[in-house]
Amino acid sequence: MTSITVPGSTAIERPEHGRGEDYLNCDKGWRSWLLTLDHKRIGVMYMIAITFNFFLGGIMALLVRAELWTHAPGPITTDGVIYNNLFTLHGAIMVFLVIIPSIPAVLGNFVLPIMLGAKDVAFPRVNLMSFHLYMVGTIMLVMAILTGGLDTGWTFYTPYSSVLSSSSVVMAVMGAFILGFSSIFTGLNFIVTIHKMRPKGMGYFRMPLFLWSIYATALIQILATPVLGITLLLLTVERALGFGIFDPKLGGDPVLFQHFFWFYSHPAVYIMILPGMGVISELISTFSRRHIFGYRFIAYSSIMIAVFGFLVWGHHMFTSGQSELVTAIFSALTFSVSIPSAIKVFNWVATLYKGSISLASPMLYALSFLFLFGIGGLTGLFLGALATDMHLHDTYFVVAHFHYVMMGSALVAFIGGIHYWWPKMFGRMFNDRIARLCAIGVFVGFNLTFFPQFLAGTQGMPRRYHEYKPEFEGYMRWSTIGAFVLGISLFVAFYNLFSTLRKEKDAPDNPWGGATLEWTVSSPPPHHNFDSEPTIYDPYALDAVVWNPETRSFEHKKDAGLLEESGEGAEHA
Amino acid sequence: MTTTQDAHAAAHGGHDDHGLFHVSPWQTLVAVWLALSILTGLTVWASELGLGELDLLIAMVIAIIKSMLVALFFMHLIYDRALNRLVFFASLFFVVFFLGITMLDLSSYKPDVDSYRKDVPQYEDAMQRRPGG
Amino acid sequence: MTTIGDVGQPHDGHGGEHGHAHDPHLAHHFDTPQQQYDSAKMGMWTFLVTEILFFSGLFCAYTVYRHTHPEIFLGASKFLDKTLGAVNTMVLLFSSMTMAWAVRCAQLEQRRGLIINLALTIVCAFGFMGIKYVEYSHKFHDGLLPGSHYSAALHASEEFKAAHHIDEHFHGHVPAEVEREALELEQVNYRTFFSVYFGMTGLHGIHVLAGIGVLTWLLVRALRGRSTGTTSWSSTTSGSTGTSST
Repeated sequence: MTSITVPGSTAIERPEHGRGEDYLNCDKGWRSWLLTLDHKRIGVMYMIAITFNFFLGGIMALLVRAELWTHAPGPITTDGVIYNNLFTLHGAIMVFLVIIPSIPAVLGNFVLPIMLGAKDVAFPRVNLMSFHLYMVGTIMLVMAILTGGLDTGWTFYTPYSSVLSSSSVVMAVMGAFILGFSSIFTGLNFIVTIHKMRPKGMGYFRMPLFLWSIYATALIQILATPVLGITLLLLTVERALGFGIFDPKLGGDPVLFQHFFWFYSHPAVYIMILPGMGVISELISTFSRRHIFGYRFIAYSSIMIAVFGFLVWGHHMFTSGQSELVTAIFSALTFSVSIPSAIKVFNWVATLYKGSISLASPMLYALSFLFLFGIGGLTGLFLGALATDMHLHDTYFVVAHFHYVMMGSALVAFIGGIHYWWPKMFGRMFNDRIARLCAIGVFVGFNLTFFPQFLAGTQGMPRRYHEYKPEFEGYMRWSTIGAFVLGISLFVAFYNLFSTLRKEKDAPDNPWGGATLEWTVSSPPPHHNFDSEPTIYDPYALDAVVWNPETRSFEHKKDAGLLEESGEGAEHA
Repeated sequence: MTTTQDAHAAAHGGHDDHGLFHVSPWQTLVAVWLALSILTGLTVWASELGLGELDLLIAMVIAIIKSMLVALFFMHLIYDRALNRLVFFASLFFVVFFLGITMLDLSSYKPDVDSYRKDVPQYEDAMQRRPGG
Repeated sequence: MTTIGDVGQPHDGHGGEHGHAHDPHLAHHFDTPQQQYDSAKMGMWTFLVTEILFFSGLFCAYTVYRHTHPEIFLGASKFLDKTLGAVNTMVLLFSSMTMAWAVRCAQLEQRRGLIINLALTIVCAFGFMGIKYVEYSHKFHDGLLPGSHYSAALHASEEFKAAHHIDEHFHGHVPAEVEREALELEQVNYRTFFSVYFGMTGLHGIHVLAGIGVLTWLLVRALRGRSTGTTSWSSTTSGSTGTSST
């Protein structure tokens, strides 16, 4: 069907999958990676690229925090423009290059087909194209940094971005445009995979909740991201060709840009958080050794969040000149999103209740998530209420709120998930003692960084300034100390993981006792995921998974945890 | 050429009704095309009548009918799986919501924007305040 | 070319350990041709959803400005050539039919019909772009351009003056200065109109060009006599062309 040479085609005569052969060593050379169609290798490549970008964005954040050590300009820069560049690039990198692709593109790509019992995603070539688009988008954003920077804020508001800013907006915006298509094609692939690639016996309600959340995320990716595409395209022609759709001088309307932007970017918040919620459902259940509580409620609440997420974009625009009528509607709708979110939290807590909890590092991240998401979610209600938002808008309260959700929840879930699936991905165990210390360091450092920002924000400290009133210096110093604790903990955590690549493979097939399908295959998984037709177990029948001291691994008890055939939704689509 | 034979089998009812795919008779294609052409003519004709606001309504209704014809017959949606129909029509809901709320907002605050344009003295004043004016 | 319909490499026959006897068009990760076909089809519909949402931004801009400045749209649309627009719509509709017919031919393995229909569709696409070129060059010539490039020298239209009660206020004797200012203000909004116009038709034109690329690829394959068993998804290319022409 295509002119691309399949990289595997030269290695077609490879031996049958014997012992010791897996997706990592079945093929060699950089071409076998960069042109691979294997979802697992694509996931691993995403992980490397995203980890790199994460540290790039993290360095920007630390520079921002260091600059805020004193209320006067300095010590990093006395120039507001450089500061504007730093926080913009931190935001743009973290949002477009790290958080949005993190869980779907890394963990989703790696485990989704295996959890489902499929050999690959529905469109392996499109999957590879998504990764290539991601790399192109990354390069364009980095080029924008090198060729003039970006000082518009990650939101690219017009008319600043279209007329006034002298930074390389077009390059950055086209980078984000391309990243958007990467995200769209990933979502499209997952939707079709979940609908069409389920093997016999894998009904919709037998899927692990991670798949439900990835599915809900994919819905948003295909429905919202194209609107970002057209928004950024219009911004580009506005800046480069003098179109006037958003420029009041040419008869346009800048508030219209905000509608366009937030129609994508609010649902995008759920692109960031929903996959994290899916990871947490897996972690909480596995490490409590209990069947997940309220499976269907968690599953449906993912879809509810995805749909409600589309109905609330205007709550970012309460002070933009948006009409009172629409503002009131959006405020009311905003509160509705808290319902499915709370359903999830209550069910996770109920799963913990009377569980036999083991505090391995992934679980520590999961528990951090519960705590941080609780704070992040509840402070969102302050901002959804019109009267308080007028006071809190564009203060550090907002900064703290969305960091609790995007960093404290989404990224913490990502890091927890990486720890959880690391032995599966590379067949190597990491030092869990160090990992647990890092998890605690992340939790402490995170709260130290962002909790003082709530306090500064309620007292009216505005965001996005490199100098500020002296009375806020105390809060800002705690915050800066916290940021460095957080940065060091994260660095050690990732070093702890990546350093295992030097040693021999030592991970058992199922080190944590998970009951989902990926734990039934070898670590790392074979090239085609399953050497034989997978047996579909109840993904949360953790009683059925017991420790086997001989293999030093958890295993399914014979004939335990199988699903009865009565379950609905089991038909093959 | 296994696929070739499969395709033939499917097309000529060798399998059951839900073979690999549905083949549209050419008569259907031509009929749909004729209908589309007539509807286009109708749009042009209606626009000549000068019906004012009604004009837009007529044009939109005809456009919706036309796009439905294309989607259902040329693109086989009417013979397709229910899931694909759901996928297509669900997307329209989101478009309507996007357009609806944005339009509601812009028309709600339009009086504020326009207040200085209402009559000429204020309007002249506005011309001076207009950026770049 | 990588496309949605392209569902992975054909099975090479060497990996026989995965079981059943495959036909050469079945990719390794699918169990049946039906599953592969359904996946490709659903993928294409999902992709079309993203296209609908992609265009919805422009539709939104159009609807909003049409709603808030109806008089501008009535005035400015007079500069659009209705005849050329109607002719181009007919070209698109014809090409939609030939494309659907090409799909039919592909399904029935009628190679000659397939080649004719694909070629007709491509010719129509070029015809469409040609007519669009004529339309565009008229507008370029008259200075009817988007945003800051708009340079057409016109009188303030009667519709605009009526909407802003200008004649009423000056009892029919509008001073030249007010006339000029009214024109300027009106043109501010004309600029928007042509921004939306060029945005929508330009993006559509890019899609037509992409369609030409895909169809040429299919035509070359058909001419080389390769099997076209899974090409029915490509109907959507012409379909999207057809729907956005209204």
